[in-house]
Amino acid sequence: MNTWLAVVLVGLGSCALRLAPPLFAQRFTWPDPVDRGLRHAGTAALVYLVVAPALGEARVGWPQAAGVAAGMLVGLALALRGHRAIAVIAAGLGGAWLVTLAAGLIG
Amino acid sequence: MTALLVARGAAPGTPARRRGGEARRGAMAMLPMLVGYAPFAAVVGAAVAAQDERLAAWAGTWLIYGGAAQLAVLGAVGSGSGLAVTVAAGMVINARLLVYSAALAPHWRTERRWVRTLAAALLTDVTWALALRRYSEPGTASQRRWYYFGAALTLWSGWVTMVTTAAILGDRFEVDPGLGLAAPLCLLSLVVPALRTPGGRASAAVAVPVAIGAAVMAVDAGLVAAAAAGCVAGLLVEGRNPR
Repeated sequence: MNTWLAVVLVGLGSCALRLAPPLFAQRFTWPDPVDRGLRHAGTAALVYLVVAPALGEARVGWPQAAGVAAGMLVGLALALRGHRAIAVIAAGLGGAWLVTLAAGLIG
Repeated sequence: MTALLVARGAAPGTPARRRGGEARRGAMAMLPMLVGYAPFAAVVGAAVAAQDERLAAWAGTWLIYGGAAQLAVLGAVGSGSGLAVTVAAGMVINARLLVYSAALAPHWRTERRWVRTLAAALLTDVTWALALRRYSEPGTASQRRWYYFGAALTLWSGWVTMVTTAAILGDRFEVDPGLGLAAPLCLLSLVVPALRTPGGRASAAVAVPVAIGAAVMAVDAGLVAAAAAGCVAGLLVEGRNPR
């Protein structure tokens, strides 16, 4: 199959999804429930994008699964306390690495 | 001397200086996200390098402008799937962009058409979350616009640069598998502010089992299902706990 064709079609489709609301629905504001519903849908999509790749990382083995769980918990705790994104990423990765190492040593 | 200083650049407190400050704020808010996305960009770059039609695969970096969708398309092409399946794989993942765009459209309705077009073209998960955060803070439409473009252009240029570099380097380097957690942690830091409302917590709570279920059953439409379930759950909980 032609890679160009697939990439261009998905690119055009993605562009249409991005551009349609601001270009064709810009003259009105959403009713409040729709506005809130869109935000909730976006939040759920972000949560999915957090959980799904983390599950992928955890599938490698039990030490990795323990590390992913620890890393995500550390990251969540710091994020809830209002720490900066870079601290969340660094502490989460560090926690995951340490727990994976410890779990690997335990066996 | 003062005249010279003014002639050389915008004086403190002028609109030009404020615009520059907002754009810089947006860029600075995006930089940690770029760090978090670097391992993912390396994975996408490696997938580009592994393709027979590398230029076409690389073009997806800015045409599709979504790492997960680009990986899905390249994976489907590599496995010999048909065109319809390949396009569907990419579009299902990017369907969330419609939600993000629709949520931001009311904030952009006073902007000129080219501004709306450019802003929407640069929209992705991180820009959506940062924009919503900025739009909830005080500020003029101009300040918000410059913040958005500062953040969005930083992500776009950084992402394309990182994927291109990884594609050029090909298999000459290897990303530590543990670093794959960086992108989810990056998004985690963005999603937490939404958890401060009952509706936000409900939408997040239903997205977790949907993600687990989709992973177990290998369902491609998990993201769309999570967004739909989150929308319903959030509204239901808010209906029970009106503000």
